[in-house]
Amino acid sequence: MKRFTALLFVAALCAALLCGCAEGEPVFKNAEVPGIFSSDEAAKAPTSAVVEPDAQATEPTQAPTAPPVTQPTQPVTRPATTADGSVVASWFDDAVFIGDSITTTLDFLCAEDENLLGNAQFVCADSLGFNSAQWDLNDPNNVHPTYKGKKVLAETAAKITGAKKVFILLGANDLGTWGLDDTKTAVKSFTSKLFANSPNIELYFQSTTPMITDKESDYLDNADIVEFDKWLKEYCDQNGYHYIDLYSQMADPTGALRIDYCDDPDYDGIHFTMDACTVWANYLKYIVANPSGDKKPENTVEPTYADPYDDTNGDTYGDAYEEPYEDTYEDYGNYEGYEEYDN
Amino acid sequence: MKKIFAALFAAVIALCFCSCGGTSESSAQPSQGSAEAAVSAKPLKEIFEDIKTQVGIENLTELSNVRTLDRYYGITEDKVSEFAGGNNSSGVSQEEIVLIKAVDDNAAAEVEASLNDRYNSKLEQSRNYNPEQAAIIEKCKVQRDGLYVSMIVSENADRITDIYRTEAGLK
Repeated sequence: MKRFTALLFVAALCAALLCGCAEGEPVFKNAEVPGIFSSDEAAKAPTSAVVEPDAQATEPTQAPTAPPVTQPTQPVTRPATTADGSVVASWFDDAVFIGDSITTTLDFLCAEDENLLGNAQFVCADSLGFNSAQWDLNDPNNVHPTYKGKKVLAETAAKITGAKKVFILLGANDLGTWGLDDTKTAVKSFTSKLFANSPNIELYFQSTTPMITDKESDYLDNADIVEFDKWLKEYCDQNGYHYIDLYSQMADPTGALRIDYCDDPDYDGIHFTMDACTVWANYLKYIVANPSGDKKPENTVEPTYADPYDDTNGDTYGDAYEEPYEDTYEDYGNYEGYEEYDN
Repeated sequence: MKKIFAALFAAVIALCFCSCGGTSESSAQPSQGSAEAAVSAKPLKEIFEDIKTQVGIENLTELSNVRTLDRYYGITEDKVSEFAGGNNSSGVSQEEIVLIKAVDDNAAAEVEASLNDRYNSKLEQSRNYNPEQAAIIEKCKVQRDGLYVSMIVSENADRITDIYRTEAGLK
């Protein structure tokens, strides 16, 4: 009897091993057979029958961690300034940049390269201005920036980021829409709100920057910008704020935005290329260490001039080379060899 | 009688062991974040490279570091299993592609909410500033398929979405 029972038990085990736990279709489906596991529980139960053969199955479910940092055996002393008198990038670790679409490009650049402005934070939005920054957070026309995905008021930028230094570049979205006087009023009220939220910040106003000549209009031109910047400097001097003449750094000898710095010559004519943003960042590192410096530092990035054959510059190709091709085409008919094809 | 009981007992034991081997079929049922999607899914970074090549996307600052997801979207790295994408770096184009595979369903729900916040913010900022870009954004959306969450804002959104969903095994 015992032998028979044992034989039956072994046979049952063998049958189970052959058909139950192997990969592939089982003899009995969960839905049909009551057992220890219900169909849902069986789906969750870790078994060798779950198929995940591809590479993703071997990837950790947690986000990849950074490689371990080797601690230096001796303390590393970082100089306050570099050889050319600029501050090191980490000087901006406790800085926040408040800005419009011009600053968003700098944000993208700095997100990928900590050697530019360290861990500087950015609270910027494409249409932002001194006026619109003060609208209600849920105004139906609001253009408020986001910080880590959440919409915030720009005046709280230092408070929410913990920044001690605040750099502001606004104005381009104010002057054309609201005019000079209203923009001046908005600057004062915005500054007041900024300090109400963060009384102990160090404030740096960057001058509103120029536009290319071709895009100047009755709505906004460089003369308007220069006039505003002149008032802004006086306002800073009267109140003890830092003023950074970014306009001069980005302008050509005529006072317009350098064409090679312009990323949108066929649109607003005021946005910067990534190279121009690198120039901007390097200038900031220089000027905060040398606020009285009146010499433009040498550009550390060779500006990339627009390639007229590059279609990504829009109409540059046609604008630059329309006439020569027309002349060439007209002369083509006189080409000695052309007559052969004409016949 | 004893033999009958022994046989029945052995049969029950055999049936119990059989029931634990039936998961491959149930997991083959299409479901969100299922093993079937994992079988045919390419890594998101490879999918993004294919998108850039096939659609011809340029001027994108790529999301190279998982910390940038927190910077722009408030998505912390503990929620993310994989990611890929980029932003157009100009101050004009609103083109933005974000592809994320979350670690679990809860994380995927949070990622979806974060990307929706970002999407709404882009739309608000563009409405008055750049109506052309706002029109492009309005035709795009944030989409979730199980653990996969995407925000594809581009004038080529349909084609990009098709490549992404095909190569991620979401179709």
